[in-house]
Amino acid sequence: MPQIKDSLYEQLNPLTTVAGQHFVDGFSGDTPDVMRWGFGYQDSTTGNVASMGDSVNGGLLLTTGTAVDNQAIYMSFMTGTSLDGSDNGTATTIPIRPFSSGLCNMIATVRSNEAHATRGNQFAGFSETGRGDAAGDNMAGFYDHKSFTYFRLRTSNSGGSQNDTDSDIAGDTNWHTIKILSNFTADPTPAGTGVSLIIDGVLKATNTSAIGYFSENVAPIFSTMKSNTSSGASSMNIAYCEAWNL
Amino acid sequence: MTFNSVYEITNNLSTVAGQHMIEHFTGSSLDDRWTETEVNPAATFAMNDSVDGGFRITADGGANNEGMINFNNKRQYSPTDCAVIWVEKDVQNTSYTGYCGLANGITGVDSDFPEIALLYNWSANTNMGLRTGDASTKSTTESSVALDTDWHCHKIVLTSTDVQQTIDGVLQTVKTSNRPTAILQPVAGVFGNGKSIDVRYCEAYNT
Repeated sequence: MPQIKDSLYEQLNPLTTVAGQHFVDGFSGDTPDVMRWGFGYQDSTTGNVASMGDSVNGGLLLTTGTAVDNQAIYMSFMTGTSLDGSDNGTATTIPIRPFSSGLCNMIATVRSNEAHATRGNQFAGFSETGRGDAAGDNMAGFYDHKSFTYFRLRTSNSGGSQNDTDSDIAGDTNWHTIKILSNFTADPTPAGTGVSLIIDGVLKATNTSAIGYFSENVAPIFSTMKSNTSSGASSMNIAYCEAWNL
Repeated sequence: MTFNSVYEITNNLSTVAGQHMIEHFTGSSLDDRWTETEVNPAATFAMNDSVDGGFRITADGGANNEGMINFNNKRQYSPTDCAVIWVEKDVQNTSYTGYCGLANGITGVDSDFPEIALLYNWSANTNMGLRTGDASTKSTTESSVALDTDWHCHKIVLTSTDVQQTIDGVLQTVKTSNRPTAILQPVAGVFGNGKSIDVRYCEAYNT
């Protein structure tokens, strides 16, 4: 039975604990919150747009244009207010990274809207690097691409070497609740339970190698990329994001 | 016992939660997720500089004036499976209409826009009301709670069969007529000559 407490703080932490960084975004309102989020692009900004979905549970919608193959838009703690990503290019270090690579946790609800068979890189999680192709340093996230049958846990280390582990959930266009759970210490060889991906409440994958360096800092990032086999746009809805350090 | 996350306070991880929004109306100005709308301007919108003061909406001094906050028609809440909680206070209880709840549209006078489910405090009535509207017709059912100038917690639940109004934790009205059928957004506003309402909490979520 839930217990009513005086504060949200006490629902999450005993008062004897100094809580770490923690934020919740429900992506509701008239426009994307450009005070918190900034947008970036890869290959082209033409037709890219971040907008609020005018539909039940629509959340925030990232949509690429269709000007070039592999065109992408991403959202992280970037600077600027442009909603087409033109303020930030690719392979850019995210300027504000308040989460520890070894301790960062996230719950998000996301949906990729392009058919899986023609889908480009889709990513939701943490990274040190702002870019639209689900690459970069110190990543930990939910990943999908038309080349792979199943949703994956994708991590990378401080040098950008990647480690993908399949879940058993085939890529689809449904909403999913994802949880990224990082819990490790020590560089360069991590010690701890590594990085885990939970999808819809079930543990699906854990990586213990090619994961971020504990001492490196990361930020939430969501990205969607048009593939080279699709003539249409790629898009991703994000209706909830909560991130915190253990 | 503590929860691991805010998400898990209201959801299991095996559930993909619906849209959920919480606004505390705290800070130097209104968060820019909201749009301020006026009918016959100029309404005023301002944070109150007082303990538990929240945010004040004031209609201009002329006739048929209205001030409202809304999501500029970004409508993410279901007319058949959602709930909204507002903490609201009428600054006066004469010659005004104060309202808060959910609406499809954002234009009109005296909350006469279509597709609504609102707390409806109209000074021509004795008690606080629940006003609902479908695409063509609106109607109001009064509660047993008299209009006053105190803070109250208002909850409106929309299901596939009815609209339920709870005031300060007590179920007041279950209304089955003229229920909205279109997608909805949070709204709060006031109509009247220089009259005001205060709001200090809004939570909306799909169930």
